Amino acid sequence: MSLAFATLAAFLGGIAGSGSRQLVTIAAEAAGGSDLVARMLVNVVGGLLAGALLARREADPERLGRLEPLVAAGFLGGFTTVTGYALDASQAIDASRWVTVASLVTVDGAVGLLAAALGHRLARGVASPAH
Amino acid sequence: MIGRVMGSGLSLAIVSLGGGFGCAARLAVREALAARGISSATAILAVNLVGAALGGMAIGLAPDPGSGPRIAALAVLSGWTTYSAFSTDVLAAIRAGRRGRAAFLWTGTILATPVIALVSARLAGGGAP
Repeated sequence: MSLAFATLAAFLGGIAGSGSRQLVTIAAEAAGGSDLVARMLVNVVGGLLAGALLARREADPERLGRLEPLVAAGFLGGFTTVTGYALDASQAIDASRWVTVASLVTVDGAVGLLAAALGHRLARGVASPAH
Repeated sequence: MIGRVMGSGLSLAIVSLGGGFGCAARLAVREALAARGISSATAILAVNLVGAALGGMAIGLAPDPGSGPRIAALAVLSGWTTYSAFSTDVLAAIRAGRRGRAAFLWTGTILATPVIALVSARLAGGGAP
């Protein structure tokens, strides 16, 4: 796959992923929730899906490798965000809202990673049920 | 109600398109760094650190959350940075027994990016983010 084609795939996947993230935010705000909680939810779900995709790619590197720019770099990369985490946490630090800081570090620093590990384990089980 | 729906539609369009550009730029930078022998995980860490610095700068320069340039900048930067790649990079490092590497990626992303964003916002705006 040429770099130009891969970049185009990431662009298109990124539009879909970023749009999906914004839809979650809009839905959360309409339901009376906060964009901060929506952003944390997005990263945890994104971690889960990324872990599952990693396992599938390990099982079938050629086919899933071709989809990496569209699905991983594009869709999941656009769906999840570190900028949002960094700004949420920096504003909480600046306002001395330490419970919020602790919540952000717990969710983005631990729960999202556990979700990635869970996604990997579940997808690996699907790929090779004998294991 | 109509205004709210239109506002949501506009924000959806800006975030989607900006995010697409951010993702494309990230992939191009990752590939350029890979050609120089830099690993994908290191490239993603660098991308996330740069994204935090620029995000802080954006809100420092444009404190109004409704500012058009700020919304557009954060749309691009949210696509530019990625949590999903960070999570699988840490997972892969742990599975490979490279715990020091995993700790490095975790510290750089989870602990350093908020501090960088805070410092950047203060330097750019002369005040709180």
